[in-house]
Amino acid sequence: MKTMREATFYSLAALLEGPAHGYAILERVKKLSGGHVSLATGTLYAVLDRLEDEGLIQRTATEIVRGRARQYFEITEEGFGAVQAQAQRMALGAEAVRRASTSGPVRSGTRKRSTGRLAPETLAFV
Amino acid sequence: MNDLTEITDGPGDTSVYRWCLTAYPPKYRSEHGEDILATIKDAHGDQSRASLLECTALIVGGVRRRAAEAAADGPVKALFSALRGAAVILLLSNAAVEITGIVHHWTAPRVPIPHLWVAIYLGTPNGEGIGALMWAGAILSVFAVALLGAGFRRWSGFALLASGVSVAGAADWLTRLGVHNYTMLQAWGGVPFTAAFDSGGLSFQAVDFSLASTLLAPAALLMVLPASRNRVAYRRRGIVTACVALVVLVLGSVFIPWLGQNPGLALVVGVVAASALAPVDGRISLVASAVVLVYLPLLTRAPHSEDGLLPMSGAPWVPEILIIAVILAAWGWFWTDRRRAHPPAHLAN
Repeated sequence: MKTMREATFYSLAALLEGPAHGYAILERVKKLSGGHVSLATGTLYAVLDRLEDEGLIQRTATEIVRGRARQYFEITEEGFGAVQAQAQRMALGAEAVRRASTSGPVRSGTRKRSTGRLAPETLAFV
Repeated sequence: MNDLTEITDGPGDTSVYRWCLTAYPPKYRSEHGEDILATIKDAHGDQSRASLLECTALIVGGVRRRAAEAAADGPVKALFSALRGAAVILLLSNAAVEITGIVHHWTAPRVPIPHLWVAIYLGTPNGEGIGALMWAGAILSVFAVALLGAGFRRWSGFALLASGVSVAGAADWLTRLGVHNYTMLQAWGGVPFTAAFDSGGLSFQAVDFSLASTLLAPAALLMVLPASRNRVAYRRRGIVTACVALVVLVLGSVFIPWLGQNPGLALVVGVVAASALAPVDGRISLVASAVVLVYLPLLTRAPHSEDGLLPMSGAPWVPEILIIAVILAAWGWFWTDRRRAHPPAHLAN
């Protein structure tokens, strides 16, 4: 399974709440990421086009919103599976970091010299 | 039916964004352009100034979309798309060269130009302007990588990168061996992409990015000029592009000796051809006018050549050429405007 970029992940996640047009997706992405991810319109549409090409989302009907024709996007079943899988990977990564952080503080004097090999926990994410 | 004119009018003017949208393929633009503009309008409200970030994102997104579509349609279209993009880059690069030359000519030594910039574009006083060729190769390669590597086969992009570097490297090597000289480069001052090879008394342009940009730039200009409903029918585009190339080639003969020794005649032929083609597409005259203006500084700076390579040179020609450029532009504008008001049957859909 391909790893998603942040913009892709949040754009896809934004559509879990239901179909939305471009501006609504921008707002949802901002809200979901806690303001961390703020996409330019051109970037958003590039992401949406790619997701559509991959069959993860699809364009639905065009509706008139405040006098402007807006295209709506909705997530497909495949897209739902992809975003869930990515979220799971991220959760695993977060859990691994949390475990490593709580296993004890690493003092500069006690840090082990690297053997050139990766720890098993690290290997799981490579 | 919704009123889409709302998007283009009012304080939140979207004309800049609309222009940026030309980076997208026409079909995509017609299908999704209004939706993108509406989203920008929603996101930025009635801001009077266009956001640089949004503009950049639109242009990058448009180029990527073009690359993806070209890649989907096969290597030939991808290559064509890459060439067209390269033409735009060369055009911009050439414009940068000219502006640098003009600034240098008019302001030196009051306004010093950064040494690196001079070395890259104008060459060093002893003619070692290798950076220009490297730069041109790099521009082409990077753009090819950006286009072809985006959605097509990645190795194609790297192959083009390698060939670009090879061309630049070969030019470097030949220069160091003393095989070619910078006679013209020194004479023209502002045309760094020209390397004249001299073989058995026959002088020809072997690595001539100036020629490439002379031919490609007008074609690129023609395609990016926002002249809606003024495009010729698709089946005629090849002919029109060929005619523009011919016109500019003739104009270019002023600077390319093996294409003609009589630049006055070449200029007249070029102007007549551009004027005659204006009814077909007004942009041809506009482009010809722009090309004449871009190359004008060369004429003012070119010294009289002893070997007759530059028979037309010096300041006395400047007013005449300026007048020609203005007439061409006005003529082109007239036909563009006329065709907007009275589009031909095949465009009046």
